This record gives sequence, C-alpha cells and structure tokens, in this order.
Amino acid sequence: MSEIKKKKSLASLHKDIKTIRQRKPSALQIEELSKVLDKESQKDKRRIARAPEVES
Amino acid sequence: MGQVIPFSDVENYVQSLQKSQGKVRSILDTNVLASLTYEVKPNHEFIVDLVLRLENMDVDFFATINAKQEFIDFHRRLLLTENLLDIVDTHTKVKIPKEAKQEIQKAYASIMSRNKTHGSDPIFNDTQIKEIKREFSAGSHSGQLGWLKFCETYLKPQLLDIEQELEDRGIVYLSPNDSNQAGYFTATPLRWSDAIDVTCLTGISMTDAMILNCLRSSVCQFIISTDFDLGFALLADSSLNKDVLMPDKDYKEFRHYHFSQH
Repeated sequence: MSEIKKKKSLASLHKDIKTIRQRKPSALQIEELSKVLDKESQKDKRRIARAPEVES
Repeated sequence: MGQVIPFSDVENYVQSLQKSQGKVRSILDTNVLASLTYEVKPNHEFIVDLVLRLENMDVDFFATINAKQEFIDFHRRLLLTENLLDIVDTHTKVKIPKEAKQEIQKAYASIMSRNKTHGSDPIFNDTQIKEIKREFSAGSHSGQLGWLKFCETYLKPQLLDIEQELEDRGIVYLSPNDSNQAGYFTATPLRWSDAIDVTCLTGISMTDAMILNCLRSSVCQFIISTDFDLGFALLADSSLNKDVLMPDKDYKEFRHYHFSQH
C-alpha cells in the first residue's frame, strides 16, 4: 500500500480554485485573441465577397 | 446491511470505526467534490465544514477515476460559462461575432431561469456550449481559430491548475489494476456484473453503481454523498455492508424507509 502524499488541506480546495477562476488573461493575451477573432471575421467577409452568386 | 449516517454524527461514527478497525478511509462522491469547490451550491458550507472535521480526525480520502473525470468536467463547464459571460460584458475589449454574443445571452437567460425555478446550477450545459461554439466563427465560411484561441486563453491554464490543486490534496483514485493499490482492495473482485446488478436493483446510473461497487471491493468503510438516490441504492442492496455519510435532511428522509424489513 503506497503512502498517501498530501501537500494541502482538502477543506481549503475551494479557496484555491476560486482564485484560479478569478484569474483573468493578461492584456497581451486578450489582444492576441482579439486579433485572431478579427482575422477570422475578415477572412469570412473576403470569402463571401469572392463566392459566386448562386441562382435559385 | 449498510446504514445512512448524518453529517452531524460524523465524530461519533468515525471514532467508533477507529476503535474497532483502526484506520478510517472514505470515498468522495462527485457531488461532494463539486459542492466543496463551488460556493453557489446549497451544501457548500456544510461540505467544507464536514471535510475539515474529517481531516481533523485523520480520515483518508479516496475517489474513483470517474469522480475525478466528472469533477474536472464540471469545472470545464463552469470556466467556459464564467469566461464566455465575461467576454460579452460591455466593458470587455474582446470583439466576438454578433451571433455568438446572442447565443451566449440566450444561454444565460435559460440557465438563470432554470436556476430560479429548479435551483439548478447557473452553468451552461454541453448542448449550449456547442451552440455557442458553432456561432463563434464570424460566419459560415470562417474556421474555428477564434474558438480554439478562446479555449487556449480562458480554459487551458485554469483547468490545468485546478487539476493540480486537486492532486495536491492527496486523494487516491481507486484502480484495481494498479499494483501499488493492492492493499486498498478486499478479496471481493471488482466485476461489471456486480455494478449492473446494483443498477438493476434501483435503476440508478451506472456511474453511481460503479462507485458503490468500488466501495464494496475497497477497504473504505463509507462513502460521502449528497445524492439521495445513492443512499437509497446502498440501503436497498443488503449485500453491501458499507455506510453512506449524508446531509442530515436526507438522513431524516430515510427514516421513512424500512429496508431492513424486506
């Protein structure tokens, strides 16, 4: 039977998890995300513009 | 047969086990891990207090692999919910597609309504998350890079850290195939047929049946749960000579049932 290795109290787990949940991305990470979303949006607009009209 | 022990009687119960059996070991049900770590859950404070009392009595904690998977999955949905709501906040600098914003707002209205009427967790379910993900691309022609970047930014670092925090608590995940854990299992082998028998007895989920089956085959004396149905299944199975620690309100409810007479 292996020895149980316990570094922290289980009763305090909620405090550490709440801290993690409240941690927000840096301004740089948000800027990178915005760039990707913007690029996707532009890509979409270009493809729509290039798409041939379909006769109904 | 096993018995239901109310949270309020945990000291007497554990001390009695320590006198008769020495080391006391318990299995944590997924709902206990979720209530312990999500302050919105009605049982949150009771569970934190209970775990502290058990730790003070040097009780060891075990869980099944399924419980760990369900726990991480719960926090995945919670992180996605909180962070998606953050980015549709009026103060955010992140510009997401209009359709995605509408889908997030629609999902939010739905979870808040269900929270008000049924008391359910204000967390997006997987169907809602999939709908939001589908709208995350700017339109039908764009790729999925936006959603992938969102997950990389808002989900990955947090979820990995949550898993690490859980690991630091020294919970043992019961696995009959791990030779290092041989001492945690009794002579009763872990069989699928036994789990199916538990399911067939009361109609509980296979996930719950597998937890009870693991309890049966392990050296743990009891399971801690806030799921009434799990307590019901444990009492209904006269061959399961283990106990379940439950909130006092459930314990009182079980007094109306008389399993021992059947």
